[in-house]
Amino acid sequence: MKRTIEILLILLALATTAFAQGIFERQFRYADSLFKAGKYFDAITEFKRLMFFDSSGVYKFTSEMKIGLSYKAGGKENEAVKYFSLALKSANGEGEKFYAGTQIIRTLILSRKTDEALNLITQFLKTADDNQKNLLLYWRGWAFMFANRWQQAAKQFSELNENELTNLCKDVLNKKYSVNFVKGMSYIIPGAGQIYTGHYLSGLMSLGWNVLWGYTTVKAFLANRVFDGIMVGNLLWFRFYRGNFQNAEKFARQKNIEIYNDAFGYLENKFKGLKP
Amino acid sequence: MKTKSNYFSVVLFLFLSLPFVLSKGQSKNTSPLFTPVNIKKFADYLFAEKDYLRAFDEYKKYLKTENNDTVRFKIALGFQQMGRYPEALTHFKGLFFNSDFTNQSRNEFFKTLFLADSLSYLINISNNEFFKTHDSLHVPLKLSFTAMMLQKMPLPDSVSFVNIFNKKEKAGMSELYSKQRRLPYKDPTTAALLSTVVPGLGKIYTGNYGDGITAFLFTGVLGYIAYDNFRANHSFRAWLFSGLTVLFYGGNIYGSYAAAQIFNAKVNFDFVSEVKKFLEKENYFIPRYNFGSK
Repeated sequence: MKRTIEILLILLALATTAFAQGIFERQFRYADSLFKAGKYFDAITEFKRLMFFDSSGVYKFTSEMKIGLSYKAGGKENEAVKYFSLALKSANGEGEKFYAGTQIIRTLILSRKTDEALNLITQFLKTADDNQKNLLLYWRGWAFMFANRWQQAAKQFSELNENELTNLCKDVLNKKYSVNFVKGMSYIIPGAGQIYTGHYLSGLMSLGWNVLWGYTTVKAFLANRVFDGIMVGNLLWFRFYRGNFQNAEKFARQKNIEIYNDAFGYLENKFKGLKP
Repeated sequence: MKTKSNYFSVVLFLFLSLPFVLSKGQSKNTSPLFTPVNIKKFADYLFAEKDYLRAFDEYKKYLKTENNDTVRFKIALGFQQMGRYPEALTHFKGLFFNSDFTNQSRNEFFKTLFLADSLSYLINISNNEFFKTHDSLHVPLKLSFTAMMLQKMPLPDSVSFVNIFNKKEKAGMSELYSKQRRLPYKDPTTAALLSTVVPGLGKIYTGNYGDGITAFLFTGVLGYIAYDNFRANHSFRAWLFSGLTVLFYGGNIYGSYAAAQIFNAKVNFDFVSEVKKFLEKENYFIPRYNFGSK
């Protein structure tokens, strides 16, 4: 009889644990269903509830990851990185650590924290196997793209035989304007930089103003009207000349931003591969 | 022997099937995680984590089944922490009467008004008997005095002013009181007059030494060029530079007036920042809460 009671008590303990685990498993499934339905706010609440009550920590890693992914989907990158970092701490085994780590890297890339992303990639590369290395290098390429370091991105993708991304980076490099070159053009011929970047009216206006005030200044000096020469030269010609190359620089930068945005638009809408 | 074995088998079966039966038989709402006690525990955790929106959702669920003023007070505090002052004020108002948090909510109501920069309203209602004597902390009166100090309203004499504050607060408030009395304002009219007499002097008076010297030299040089052109009978240039001189001279007078106003705004800003820093340190004269498991 005594032995029977002992067995029953053990079974009771086991049953209680199993019951609790059943509750948590059901809570996990409920939270996950919200996550899958894209109800990220509610999913975060339910995963947090699960983590709060599940003292065994069985669902800790997965919940933290899902919370991070929910925050990421909601555009709250800082919160996402916080939860991925917590998941990295509670990860069991290299696989989980790598998964959490790459999610941190991807979120950092999205929030354009390039240096932090690159540092983390370098850290993970030290212990990664071949497959993991390729994935990390792939994300390094993305980090370069998001930092507008297209040359480095092209090189990285080319080494990984990622042809679509390599071509995209090369295309951006071909299309983009060299800001210094555009500025230099306008130093030599006022308005040339603007015309080169497609702003014809602005370029012609700039050329006209500089010719007019340059001519007036030179004419004043030739007629020994030094004071007039200094005043017109200083207050008008130099002003327009400086405005000319500043404008050319601004246009080149604007054009480059448009080119980058086109590339990011392609990545967002048409690229089918893995994205951050 | 066989009966005993059968009995054991039945009990064993019941035990093993218990988790399955319980787990399958429960909907989300009957899960032990969603009992009022557990909802509150979880909400308190979210509140402590400053995840206020989720905490509010949980507290609201809890309040559907339970009556708890601590929870209502925490919702109001959460709104205050989030900077959603109108909602915080409404929630604090709801606890003014027949509540366990009558005094605290009145104090927090005043703190919220202060945070929302509704200083004139705060000063006005602090004279209301309802707020005057409701507890020994005198938070409404203290915040009202502080608001009057920031609004540059006439204050009581230093002894009466400082007396309402407790020992810990007295030193800081006394210092702020004295400082407010002798804030180093610059008179805009004086600055303008100084620049009328000597171009740039008004700027120097307001501490803008570089601007002052530049204005003096620039107006002087333009004036000299105008004079020189008149002397050489270059009439057009002379009038042109005279115009420029007058423009710069007048501009400098106006600039000096504006510089004094900017200087005063900075003095005010620094003082207000210092007062707010002190209030933050003293938690707006309200003791910190320990809600425990309430």
